[in-house]
Amino acid sequence: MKLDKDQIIFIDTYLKNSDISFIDIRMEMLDHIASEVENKMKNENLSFYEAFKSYMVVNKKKHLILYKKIVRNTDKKLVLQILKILGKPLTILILILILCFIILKLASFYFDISLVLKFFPFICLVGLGSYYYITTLLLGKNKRFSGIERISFVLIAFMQIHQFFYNPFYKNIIETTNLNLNIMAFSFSITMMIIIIQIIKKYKLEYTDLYKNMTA
Amino acid sequence: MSNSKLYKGSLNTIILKLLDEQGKMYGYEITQKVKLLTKGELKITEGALYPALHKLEAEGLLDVEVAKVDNRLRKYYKLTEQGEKETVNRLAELEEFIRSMQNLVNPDWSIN
Repeated sequence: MKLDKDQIIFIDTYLKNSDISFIDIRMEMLDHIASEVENKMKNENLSFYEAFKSYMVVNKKKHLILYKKIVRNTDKKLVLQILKILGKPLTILILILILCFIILKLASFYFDISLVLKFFPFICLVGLGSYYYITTLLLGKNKRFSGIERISFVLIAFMQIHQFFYNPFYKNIIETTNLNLNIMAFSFSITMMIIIIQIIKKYKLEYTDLYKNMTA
Repeated sequence: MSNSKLYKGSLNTIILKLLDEQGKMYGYEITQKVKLLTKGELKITEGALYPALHKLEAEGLLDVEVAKVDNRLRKYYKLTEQGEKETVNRLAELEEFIRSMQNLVNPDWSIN
């Protein structure tokens, strides 16, 4: 006994309303729940609504816990991915090249890097926010993917550390007037942004390829 | 999962072994297959299964593909080349573990 399209949409809406927002996780949960419901309908001779209600009464909490666990695992996976990319020779080369460029070009024109550093989080959040918006628009409106969206968790954590040193509106907790240190911080921040954009691009490609059949 | 502490360490190996035999499988299918093979003795919960599948995927041992089946999308898991090699290693480890446990539980006291 297979569920029809309306019954599948019913389960999907139920999960969406239970704050299971990321479609890549929800899709797998939906298939599992639908399979369990079909099994219940067949074995216990129940209608769709009876079988669904009977299954969710017992298992809803388990699925919500599972969702949170998968999201946490996604965060861990993203942090590990960033650390892995940071350790790659190509990343170190990019970092050195940015560093050299700033030292040779910008610093020689008495460019005030500390001022740029103070507003760096704002510039990045606006820039990456626009990039994320365009990316999600291309993937499909209102479809939220865990790998792309949870990168913001890593980004905000990085920005918080950045703000600890450079805050344009409050007195700095740690006064950073050392030019060399500022140049290094600026180069590292730019490298981090490049890594984050690379990860978003990688996930976008992966999701586009995996979910090309998605219509609902 | 019944006797979860005893089975927990072997869950990844069980998944790899099943995928090695079946080619490709989806989450619910794995839970049902395990239930069938163990005559209901071992029940893998979704709370244990999906994080394990995602971990194996992140380690590069599993590959995924999504297909539209019965009005919904279904995520299938299959072994990668690295996964096939790892399955052989992990099965050998598990067999060694089972042998050691058998020796501990039923020791052979005879003097050779």
